[in-house]
Amino acid sequence: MVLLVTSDNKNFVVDREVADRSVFVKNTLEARGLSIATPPMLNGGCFELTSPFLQVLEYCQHHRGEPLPTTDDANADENRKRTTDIGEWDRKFITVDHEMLFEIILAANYLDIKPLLDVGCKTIGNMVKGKSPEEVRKLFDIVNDFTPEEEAQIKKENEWAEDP
Amino acid sequence: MSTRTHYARVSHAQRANPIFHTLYLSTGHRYLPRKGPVAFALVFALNEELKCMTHSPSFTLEAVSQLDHGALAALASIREWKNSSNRVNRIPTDILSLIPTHLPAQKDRFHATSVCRHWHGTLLKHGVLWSQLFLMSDIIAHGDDPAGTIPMISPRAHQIRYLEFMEYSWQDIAEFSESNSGQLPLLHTIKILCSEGSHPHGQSAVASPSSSPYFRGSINLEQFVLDFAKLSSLCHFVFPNLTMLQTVEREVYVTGTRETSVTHLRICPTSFSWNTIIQQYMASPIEAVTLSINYPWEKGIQGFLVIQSRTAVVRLGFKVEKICWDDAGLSMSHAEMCCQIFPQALTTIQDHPLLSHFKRLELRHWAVLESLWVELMANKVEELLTVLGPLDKLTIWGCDLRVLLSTFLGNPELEDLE
Repeated sequence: MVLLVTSDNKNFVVDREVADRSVFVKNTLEARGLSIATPPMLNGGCFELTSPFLQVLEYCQHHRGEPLPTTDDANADENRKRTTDIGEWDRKFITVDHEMLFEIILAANYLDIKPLLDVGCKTIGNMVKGKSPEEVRKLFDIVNDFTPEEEAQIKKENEWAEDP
Repeated sequence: MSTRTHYARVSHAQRANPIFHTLYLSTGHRYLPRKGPVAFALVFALNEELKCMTHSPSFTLEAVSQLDHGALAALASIREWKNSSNRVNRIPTDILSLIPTHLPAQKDRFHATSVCRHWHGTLLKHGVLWSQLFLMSDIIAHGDDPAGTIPMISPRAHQIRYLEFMEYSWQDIAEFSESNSGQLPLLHTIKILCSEGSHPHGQSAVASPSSSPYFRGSINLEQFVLDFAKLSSLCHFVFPNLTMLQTVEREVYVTGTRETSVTHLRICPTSFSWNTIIQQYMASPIEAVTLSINYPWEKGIQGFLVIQSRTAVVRLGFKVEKICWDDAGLSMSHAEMCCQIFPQALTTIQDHPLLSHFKRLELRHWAVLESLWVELMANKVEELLTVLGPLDKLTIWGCDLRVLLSTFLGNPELEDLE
């Protein structure tokens, strides 16, 4: 068993197999020979860590025991990136509001859980797919910050990438 | 919010932004308080350098125009700053830049670059956006257009891994190559699919080799596909590390009515023979030659002589295509077209000693054929085998070839029948 302490001082006791889904935690434990790992603050403590961490734990528990992706398998990495399919369980898992989605992505990135990071990025990809820039802005509450000249230039530059 | 507080949030990059510099030059802080809301917006957005202005421009129409321009620029910067606090933009840039990898359509990838300045800057820097490019005609055809593809892509050319030209004119390809010479170290695949009709200068420009090879900077290119009317255009390319060459001499099977005739179906070009290609591109001894007939589409069929050595593969294609102005002509079956390929393939193989390793035959993905054509094809295949000897491997996929199979099953030399 491993004790994980979040930045807001919540303790979680999990199986080593679950904790090892995080390459960061795994390496930390192996390097220091410890059974306690303190995940770093994800964003300077400006938002609650426990909530996304609980989600991440749920993911790790579900996928416990599955082989971890190896960094040197370039082909697998490419294939993983190309596909936009998300497994049934993962899809339900990642059906959360935007704020939680981004926090899960941040957590997965920091804790180095590549499959979860992939699921998060694929989800954003699926949200963006087929949408115009204006629709994407609306989706993520982004304002158009291009000057009219910049916008015209970008539009012109991207004309060639449009489908025939 | 005080001006000072706001300024503290303006990033160093924003302060270095040329837009601010323009604003700095075109306005003076002494004017700002008198120019109403726009001026106040500017006050909030301008960096500290603005305060250091010691001189003010004369108040003219031009100055007002500059002020207006500066105000838009400032507004854009304020919005950029606002976006920087958006949740999605707080994702680290190295993760945000992964998003295009999950967008299969090129259109979506480039739409993503137009969302906001942060996405534009982040995604454009990332290689994934540029790693696979499918360039359609009319993109760089207008070479004098400053927003054409060449100036757009050239700064990113070193990031390209896969490049496909669709229906490009030969001149455009040459121009692209010239503009990006020596800049394509990652490029592993080039596909050029262009028709003779897209050639603006006729055949002469293709026939004469250029002073230096095209895409000469692609020293790591492994796969090259040239689907072009004139095989002689191969003389424009030299790729030292090529492992796969695929080329198709485009020949058109013209038909106007049911009473059709092959006007030109030619496999061996006189000016630039298959043998030349094979000798040029096959570094090590040939190990196997396969005749693979597949890729049927509505109006045509395509086959390849696949020549394999230990280190390279050359695929020489035969394309038979119908051009019909009369719907009745479309009734010609794939099998009928296919039967035109067999005797030509036989001639090609016989004419070139290097192809004596012919051992494999693949027939794939055919639609259900009428028994008449199946029988005819069986005869053609048998004819091929009679001349060339037994096969190592026969592969037949996805078609009803019972007659054909019965012919082969009587052949004890076949080792592999799928």
